[in-house]
Amino acid sequence: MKPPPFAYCDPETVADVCDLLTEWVDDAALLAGGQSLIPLLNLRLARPGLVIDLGRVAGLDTIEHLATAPNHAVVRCGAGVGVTALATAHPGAGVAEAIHWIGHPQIRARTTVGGTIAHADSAAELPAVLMALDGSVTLRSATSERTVMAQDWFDGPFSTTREPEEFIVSVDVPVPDGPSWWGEVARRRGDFALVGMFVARDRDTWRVALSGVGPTPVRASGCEGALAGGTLDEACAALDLDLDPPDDLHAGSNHRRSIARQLLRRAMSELTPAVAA
Amino acid sequence: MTAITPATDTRDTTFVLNGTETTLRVRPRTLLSDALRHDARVHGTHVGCEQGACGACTVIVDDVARRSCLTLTPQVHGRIVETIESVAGTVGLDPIQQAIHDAHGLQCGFCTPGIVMSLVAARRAGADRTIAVDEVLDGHLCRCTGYINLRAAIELAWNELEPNSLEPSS
Repeated sequence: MKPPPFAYCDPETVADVCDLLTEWVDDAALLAGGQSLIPLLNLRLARPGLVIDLGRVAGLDTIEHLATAPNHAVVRCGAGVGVTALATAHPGAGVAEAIHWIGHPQIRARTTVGGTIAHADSAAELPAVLMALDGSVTLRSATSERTVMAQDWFDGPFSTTREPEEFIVSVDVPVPDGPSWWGEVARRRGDFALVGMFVARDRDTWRVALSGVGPTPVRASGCEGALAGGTLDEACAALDLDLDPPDDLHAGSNHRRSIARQLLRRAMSELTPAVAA
Repeated sequence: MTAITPATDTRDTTFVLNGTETTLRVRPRTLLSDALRHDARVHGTHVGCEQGACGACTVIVDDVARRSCLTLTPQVHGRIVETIESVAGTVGLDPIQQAIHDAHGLQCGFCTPGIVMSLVAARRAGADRTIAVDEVLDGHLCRCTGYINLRAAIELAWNELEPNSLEPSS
């Protein structure tokens, strides 16, 4: 199908985007890489009055490495940075692996960090990574700038706490000081995850978050606590309590729980061979 | 303030299409796949699912393979676009096309232009044969030939690219 009619503009500055959003508010759609928005337009699931193409906005394509505290660093990505550039820039092996699971190469090449975080598909990879690492999103509007932690950002299926006159200018992806891991089970490579899991060791604690198991990416706090002091079996039991996965035509709830437990065992066997033994 | 093109108006998009500077005057909602076929009148780019899944419409923009059905025409203003029409030289088929021919990598040929464009971009980026077979081909649906012959074609084409690795290491 073809997109419905919409007005179009391609501003060159952040200030111009802010002005457009002030005027058009929630009748505007923001176009970054287009790998989610354009299918929604083609399927007529989205009917914006105005499409604001962010592709020419200066300053959204930068990557900075920031030391935020001793032994604590973040990679700050402009919203328009491609996910493949983040995979190269971020030292975490699990972050690069998660990005490697995004779509096919032809899609991944156009996927942006800001776009996938704004779209907030709970089965997508980077939202779960951001949740696990306590990343954050920085938003700009004509009158304000604010930073929202990942746990306060994802609000429900495909929905976030962004106000209609705001847009994402950058995303902070922290760097764990230990190893990190991504694992995913999908029906076919390139499909959305049935379950995806990010695990990182960071300053003597474990960080675990999952995609595909709820309306938003899910931080498995109970599991993280159990990993700190308990056995792997106890961590799997705690993970079960952290999750309330949906039943849908791709997989039942119990099947998703089973995949999640297996992913956790796989993660720990690769990250800490001693724990799994 | 930024100029807004109303939905019912057209706007000029100027880009290099297969080596020739081209200006298309289309409405903003026009997909690149449709602008290529209906306005530029190059028909080699095929349109399948129009939601990014099938890969038939894949073209190369600034050296990167992407879906023309997931690209609004104004997005390629100032960019370099290559379609299947640019691949064969004056002397004959590109080695990737020749390999697909030799390995019987197509029957109906509907998916073929997109696959060739993805492989040309992969070759240009220096992708090894494993990436070409396992990942690049993943992004394309072929419903008649099947992938066995396409995989064989990629092996043939990459054998020419990597003469020192004729035998896959086991």
